[in-house]
Amino acid sequence: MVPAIDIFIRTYFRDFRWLELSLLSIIKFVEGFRRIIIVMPPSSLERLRGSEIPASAQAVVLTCQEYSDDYIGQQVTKLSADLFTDAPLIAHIDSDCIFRVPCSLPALLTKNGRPIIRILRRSRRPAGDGWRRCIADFHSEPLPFDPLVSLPIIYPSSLYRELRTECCDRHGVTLDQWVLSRRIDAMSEFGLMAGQAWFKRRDDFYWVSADDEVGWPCFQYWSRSPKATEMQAELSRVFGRRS
Amino acid sequence: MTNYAPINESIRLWVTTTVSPETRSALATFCRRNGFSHLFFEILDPLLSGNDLVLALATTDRPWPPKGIGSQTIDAVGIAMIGSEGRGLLTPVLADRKHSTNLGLAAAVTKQLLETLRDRKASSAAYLVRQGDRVLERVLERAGFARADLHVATEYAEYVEYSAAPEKVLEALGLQAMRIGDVLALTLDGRELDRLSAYHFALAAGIVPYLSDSIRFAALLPGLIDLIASLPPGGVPPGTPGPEIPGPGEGPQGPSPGGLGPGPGPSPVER
Repeated sequence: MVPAIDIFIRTYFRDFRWLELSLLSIIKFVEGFRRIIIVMPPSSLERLRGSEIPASAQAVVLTCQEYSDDYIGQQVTKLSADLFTDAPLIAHIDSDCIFRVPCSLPALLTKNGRPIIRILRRSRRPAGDGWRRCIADFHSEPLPFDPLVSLPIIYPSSLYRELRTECCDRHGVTLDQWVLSRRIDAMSEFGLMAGQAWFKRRDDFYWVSADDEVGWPCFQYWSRSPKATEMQAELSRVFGRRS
Repeated sequence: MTNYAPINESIRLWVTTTVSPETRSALATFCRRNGFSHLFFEILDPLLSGNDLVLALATTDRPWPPKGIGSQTIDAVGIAMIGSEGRGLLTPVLADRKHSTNLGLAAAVTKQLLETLRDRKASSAAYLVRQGDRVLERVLERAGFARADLHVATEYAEYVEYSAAPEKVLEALGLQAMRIGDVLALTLDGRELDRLSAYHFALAAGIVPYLSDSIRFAALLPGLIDLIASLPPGGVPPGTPGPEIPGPGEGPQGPSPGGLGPGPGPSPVER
């Protein structure tokens, strides 16, 4: 039996329309999870109107620390996702992730009770890219693949705690401090997590190539795109919501 | 709900006392685009090197990358200069012309600024109003302000300080209990809307001559002068006499710092 999975979304005020669409897509297409944990800083919570979160979404809204730079701040929050839920498995998506076909999270993200980590061996992102380089900076050696694939990505709750401990042991600072000291183009929270899994607990995961993956059920839009409003309008029609 | 609500959803609200190069550049651009470059180059920029300004900013971030020069666009800014005795001298919220009737945005910036002053335990928040400008006086009185003891004079007019505790203004404007989300969307009742409209549009109109470099006609001055720190050392007429002037042979030659004492003419800054 697969342990309980919670979906974790770290959001902020600017993505509320995306969040609503994402939640509607989860309601329509996704099964096999326990609840959705939505986390945002208090300043964003004060701007939440409530209508963005459909009643049937099985969602819990929580606040996290406020960060002066929320681009890095949201990565810090994701790396402490285990502190916001007691679920053994945590599936990450972003507010601009929209599910387009039916799927079961346990079937999609686990195998025989073990989390699947999808990887790219033929990545367009060079090994020297900041998002990959931060893995070597943290773990002292690079990953032989690119772990940054389309969401959702799943990790066991225990891996977050182990990464925090690893950071203190290896770098002498808390994980928050280490992440907040990084440039925005040289930090990937999921890269650090995948590194921790690969270097410390490789056999606890299924490592699956995503190079030739087709038909992945979740599409990640780019909420910062100038065309975001257009895309939202189209998706709103699909889900029958205001645009 | 206002038609500005969807626009406001993307605007970041934040308060700072230290200005990064990105924000400094964005302030210069904001002032230039709205026709008051001199405000930045002649006043804000020199003041920004000190620690006396509290800026409540409404900004839109560049889609990508979100850092670096050019990454911020200022939609509106509220400024308080923290002067002597913890007084917060206010400049009315300056909004980009595309937000000329975006009351929700102006009110949200006001709320953030006043809440910051309250949290910093500023003794007061104040505006400098042209003496006898009944419209501004009335609007400020309704917002909890009262005539205070500081005067400023330009070559053309005298200005009186209207001040209040920041929390009193928040309460009077109805902003204390409102959520930022509701303010930005302007989901307010008619009375609240009237009150905020009168406050913001009167102040915005009052500062226009100053921003147009026509100080002669300014009904309101920006709060960008530390009045008390700017006073001459010997006090001002008809104020305190200042330290005693030493007699011959008792002290250094020449007038002492406080030796100019009360004089006959008007002072540019009067307490």
